[in-house]
Amino acid sequence: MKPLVRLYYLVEYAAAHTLLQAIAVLPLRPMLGLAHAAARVSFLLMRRRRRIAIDNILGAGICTDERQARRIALAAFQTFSVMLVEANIARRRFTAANWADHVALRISAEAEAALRTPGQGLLVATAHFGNWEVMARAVSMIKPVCAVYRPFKNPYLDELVSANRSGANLRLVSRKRAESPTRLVRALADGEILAIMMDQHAANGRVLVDFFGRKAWTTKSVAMLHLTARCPLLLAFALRTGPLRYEVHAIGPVAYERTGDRERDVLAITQRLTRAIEAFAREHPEQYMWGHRRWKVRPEHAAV
Amino acid sequence: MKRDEIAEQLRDLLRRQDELDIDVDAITEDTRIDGIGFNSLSILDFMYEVESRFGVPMEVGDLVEMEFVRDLIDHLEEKLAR
Repeated sequence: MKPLVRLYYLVEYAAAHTLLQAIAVLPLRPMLGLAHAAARVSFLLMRRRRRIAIDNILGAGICTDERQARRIALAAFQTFSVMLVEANIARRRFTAANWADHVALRISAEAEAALRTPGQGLLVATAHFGNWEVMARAVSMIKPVCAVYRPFKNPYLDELVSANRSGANLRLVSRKRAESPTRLVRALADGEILAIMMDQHAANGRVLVDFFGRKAWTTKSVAMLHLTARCPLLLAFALRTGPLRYEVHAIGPVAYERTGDRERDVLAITQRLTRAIEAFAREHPEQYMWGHRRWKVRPEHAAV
Repeated sequence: MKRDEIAEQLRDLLRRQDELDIDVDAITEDTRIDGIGFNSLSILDFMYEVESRFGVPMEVGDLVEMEFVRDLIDHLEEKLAR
């Protein structure tokens, strides 16, 4: 690692560490005020990210007016900022006795049975919506969670954030770190929840699906795990309803019978889940993370 | 189906795996499955194809218990004999 890069990484680490310490000592309300202010500042300073968010909102047809798209984009920045704060607070506050005071499960009886059956592996697809961290923390009080995550380039920051996001019943598995190829299936075999984000651009192991009327490369991991491990599959989100108050909504268990044509099966499942993500993001656009370059598709693949 | 036929079918499926760059003929019954060169996704692709080719469903527990190619052949041989 070059000395200047190392210095930059250490400064980034120190800033993140200080922020996490501050969140740990300040009460919730002032922290939420700071989170909103930080989101406004970020929105002003991060011009490229802001532009991506506004363009994505317009391109998705959420609205047609630039000013309205800007308002939604700012709200989405605030959702993300609040997520960081409340995820950290949830880490310290949530216990097996009190998590349900903060997080309500609005899921079908069948989904809840899969969640509450000991030893039953459960595959949960999710998206950058509301507060995925709080959702993982809450359901880990019911069943152990193994969450697949994309590591930061900064190894110091990655270690800090990973430690912060993990918990007694919540472990993180890096998407990039070389481990046993069966590690994800093993989590399901061990009766854990295997949680995977499926709404970011996938550079490999992917399938092309329609998302808001445009083609988007999407991971096929969720579909392949469902087809191979045959575990119940849910698509779940945590919708924020107030300060440290959430509702977990889930679609499923999704049941899909194999046809014997792998590519066809993967496309069908991934498209179905992606449509559900789209519907939820359309309903609550201010809680979706729009500042991501989701549609990185070459022109020859772009036609829907 | 005989054991060597199963092994040959598995080699054929491995040759069809686009994402694998391996010498399939070097794989023996003593080869560790996690030493073949799979990643967490390509192993699922392979298992899907194994199930489709042999018509033998595999439980999630079976997948993680298999350590060597021999274990996979044993499993298929046993299921196909039923």
